[in-house]
Amino acid sequence: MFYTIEETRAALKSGSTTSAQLVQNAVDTFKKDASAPIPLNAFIEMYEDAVEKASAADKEIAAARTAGSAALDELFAAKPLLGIPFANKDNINSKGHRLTCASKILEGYVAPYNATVIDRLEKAGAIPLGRCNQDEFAMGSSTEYSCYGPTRNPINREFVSGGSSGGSAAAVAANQALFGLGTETGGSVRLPASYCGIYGLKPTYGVLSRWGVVAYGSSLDQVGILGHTPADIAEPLSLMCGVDFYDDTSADLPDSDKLKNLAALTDDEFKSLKIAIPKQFLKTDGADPDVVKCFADTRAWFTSKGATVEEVDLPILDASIAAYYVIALSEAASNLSRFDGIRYGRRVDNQKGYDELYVDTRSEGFGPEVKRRIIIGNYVLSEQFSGDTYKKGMTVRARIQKEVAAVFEKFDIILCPTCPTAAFRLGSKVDNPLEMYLSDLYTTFVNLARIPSINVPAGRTSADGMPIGMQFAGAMFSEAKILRLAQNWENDHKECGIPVKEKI
Amino acid sequence: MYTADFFYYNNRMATQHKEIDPQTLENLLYLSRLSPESTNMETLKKQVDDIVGYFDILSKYDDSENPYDAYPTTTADALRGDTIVEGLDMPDVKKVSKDFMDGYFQVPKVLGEGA
Repeated sequence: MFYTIEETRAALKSGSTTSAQLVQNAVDTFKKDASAPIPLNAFIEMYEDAVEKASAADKEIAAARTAGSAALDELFAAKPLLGIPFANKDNINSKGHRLTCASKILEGYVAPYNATVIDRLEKAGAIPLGRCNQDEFAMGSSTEYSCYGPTRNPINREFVSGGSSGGSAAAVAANQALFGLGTETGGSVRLPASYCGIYGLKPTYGVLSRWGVVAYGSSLDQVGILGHTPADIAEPLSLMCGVDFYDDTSADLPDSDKLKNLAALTDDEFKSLKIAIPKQFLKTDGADPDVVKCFADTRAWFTSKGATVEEVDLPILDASIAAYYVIALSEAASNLSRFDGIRYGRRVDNQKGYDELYVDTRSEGFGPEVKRRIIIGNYVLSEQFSGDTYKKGMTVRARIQKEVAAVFEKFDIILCPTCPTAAFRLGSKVDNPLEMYLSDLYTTFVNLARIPSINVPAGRTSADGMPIGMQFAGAMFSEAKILRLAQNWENDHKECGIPVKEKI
Repeated sequence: MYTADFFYYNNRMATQHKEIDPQTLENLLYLSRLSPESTNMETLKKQVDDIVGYFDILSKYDDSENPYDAYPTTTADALRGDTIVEGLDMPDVKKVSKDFMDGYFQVPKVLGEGA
């Protein structure tokens, strides 16, 4: 059983395992899970060509091994992830494979091209294993709003996996994939990472190209990575990042060379760290006491190692969830107007004309949460109904960006929990959307400010033993710094990102 | 545990949010190209009211800040070079929809009987 990219790569090089074996194991686990009484439901489809691609990788490795160790090293230098399988989210295009965003409306859609992130991973030798479950169109915090049914938490299947990238997070946590791709608009990678007890990174807006990723809130959307260790996130990030012709908002990542062989911060570097804790996140009324304790313990860890921790006042953060939903839902209403039954997937045509076709297709194709968000988005976008709500949301966002940037002029990291609670039981919030939205209390300001942030597994609840996550957020383009810091955390909390020690 | 009520009553402005009336909700459904029959209108109205009411907190922090500073780019005329790149292969494009015929997406009639 391999838990990290490094140990898997060593086994592939030595010949003690093959990529085809790794893929076949994942396919067997998928089939077994599908017929289980309470399925995990992390993957919704294994790609048919995964074994074929893995076998091709095995041939390359075998040929290089025959040619000698220098040839083998050269091969892995050119293709660092050769033969390593990874989990994809159902809203990232992988050419020739189905993509549905966990929605009935995209039934039958087959991706005509690769997303840039998939292209770059495949060029590095990685094998796309299959597509993972998610909340429909990435709208949700629990992966309960999916046309495939919920993804459950690998630690306890009575609990949700978090969302919207719950399938990818559960696949990694259950050792069904070494790393996974997710997407974030308001916390959809960090939140399921926290609930499932693994690491999850949301990079700076633009660091990973959005080309080929189905749009939800374009000014907020960003691909993220889930893994057992900071190094398992850093390496794929280094191979996917950078400017992309097809995405004008994409950007190069400075210090990406530091991600390839991730080293923890040195003692001196650690002691010079200045950590900011927003006072607004210290309000404990209503917060889970286990999360509050874990937050205090994490703070104590920083001070015990010599870092300076200070509280900062950022009152604007109280409005971050509202600003986030105003902007994200407006953009969602606009982006999802393209799903009309004409160009993509499912069509419901009762022969009454084109307007009825749109209405019937969308009414039957979209689930309740997506409909709710489109309606609210259109409410916000209609000045006649909502006045200047959209402008107010954008004004608050501008203030959040400016005030958070000012914090990073004096501090290196903002420290806070990832979520006010640990994973909750399935069905307990599904009928109360506003309560579900409030799971994003600590995550949305990161997306609004376009900064990177990583969830680190930091503890368990006393009653149910469910994971609790903390996040280290840094200034724009400071991925190397926060990942190196996460490596310090990993060094002091060995294997904290491996919540399950066998394959399930 | 945080509850909706906790945030709703702690963060809402003193001014009461005007509730969405049934006619506005129907107009929003039409604008969204969604049918009223596909949803429970009473539940939807309550949920939309709760969420939209929560947005009132924004008024507390609204000021003279330029909202357009929040866009990823504020340079309107910065267009990329007019570079020709290879397009998608037609056999791949045909797979995105089942309703594809003679090189075109098949659409319902716009004119004549059945339009």
